[in-house]
Amino acid sequence: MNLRCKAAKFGTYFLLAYLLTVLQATPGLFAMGGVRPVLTAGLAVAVAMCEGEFAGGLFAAGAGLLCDFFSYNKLGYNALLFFLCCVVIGLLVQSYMRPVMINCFLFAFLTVTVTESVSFFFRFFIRGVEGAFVLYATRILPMALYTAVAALPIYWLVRRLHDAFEKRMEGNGQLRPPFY
Amino acid sequence: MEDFFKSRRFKVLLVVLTVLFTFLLRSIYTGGFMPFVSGLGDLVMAPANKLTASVSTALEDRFYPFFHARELMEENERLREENRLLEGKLVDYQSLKNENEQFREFLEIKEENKSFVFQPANVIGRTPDSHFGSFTIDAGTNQGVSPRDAVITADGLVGVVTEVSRSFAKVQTILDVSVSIGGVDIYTLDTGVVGGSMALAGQGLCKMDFLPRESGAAPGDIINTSGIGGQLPSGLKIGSIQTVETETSGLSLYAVIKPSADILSVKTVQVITAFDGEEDAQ
Repeated sequence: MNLRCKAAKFGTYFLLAYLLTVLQATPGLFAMGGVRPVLTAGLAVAVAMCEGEFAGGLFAAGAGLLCDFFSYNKLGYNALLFFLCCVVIGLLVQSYMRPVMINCFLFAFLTVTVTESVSFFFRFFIRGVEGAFVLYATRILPMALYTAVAALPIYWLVRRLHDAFEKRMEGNGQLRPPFY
Repeated sequence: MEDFFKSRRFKVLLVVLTVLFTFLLRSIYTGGFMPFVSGLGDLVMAPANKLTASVSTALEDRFYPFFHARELMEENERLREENRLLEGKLVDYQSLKNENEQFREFLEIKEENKSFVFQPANVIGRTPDSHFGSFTIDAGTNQGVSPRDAVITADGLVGVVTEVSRSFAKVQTILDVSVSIGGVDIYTLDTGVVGGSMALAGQGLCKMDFLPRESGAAPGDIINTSGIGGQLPSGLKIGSIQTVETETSGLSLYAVIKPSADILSVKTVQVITAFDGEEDAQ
């Protein structure tokens, strides 16, 4: 029963990831001054905060792969970076930080900043592209900020889903994870 | 935390990391999707994005006047002013007529270039990280699309295909700093390299580098693809020169080009999947 419950929970998360990826890739949707949020990154962060480093990391790799289908970056890039970031986030939330909204904002901002900064480094900085920092300041940082704001309702939804499924599993006799 | 590094979970995560890294390296090396991943994308991502893109376009077309009333009024005023200016310019009727004929020639690319094989495609995705207007189209290897194919509209060149799946492909536009295309000024026959520029991309403009210092290129000149290198066909319209400046080194000139195609809001395109001379180059 608990296995079915877990499968249903992660099935719901993947459905959400699919929906958000399609929405974020839809031309013109959510655009503010030419900047759009990476909703899938917000979801990956929220899931890592709720589910821990292992499940969160694996989910982030899957979500990153979905993102990669339409991304400017090569296939597998977002999967790798989301995976690394979310494993770290999962560990931080277990050991040092609390799973609260403000931390979700911070983690989402950092995840997109790290992901885009690595891409920026290899694509523009190393090649010495003129005016690259203008792009960083006017597109990448606002995108990270927009994503962080958009991650808040996503975190709220994921937390609700997580709690609902946990309650159902508790009812079936399974204990909560130790970091609670 | 120490327990974590000794745990089985850590080892599993390390294996996943290695797999993902290998996956990325393979993608960088081949420039294409793996068959399984490609199938996954064709099955789950492309159809949904095709649907949302068409819904988004339909909604945008329907509600555009309501959300942009002020913009439309300003545009209307600007167009009236432009109209007055154009009426004044009718004095130079003959030159305008010649130019018009040239435009018509470029718009009738298909009739003039019998060797071109076209594949129509719709723009189905633009991701948040596409800073230069890159997009995804709903045509892939199943439709004959391959990396480095030219992507055009009736107005001119939009960009080149970079990654291809079975039923969709990623396109980098000519506003992108990593795109370099051979260009030629059709009046002076000066050649140069057309590509994106960080400073100009936001305004929807691109740049033609390495024009010779003695070049007679001037604002208004039309830039076409030169076909040098054989990756793209020659004679595709890229845009027109806005200004000609000297490079900071002083050794050559560069021209700021306004692309003919509306790159940042293009919705349907044509991919040139084959043309005469392509095989010689490959």
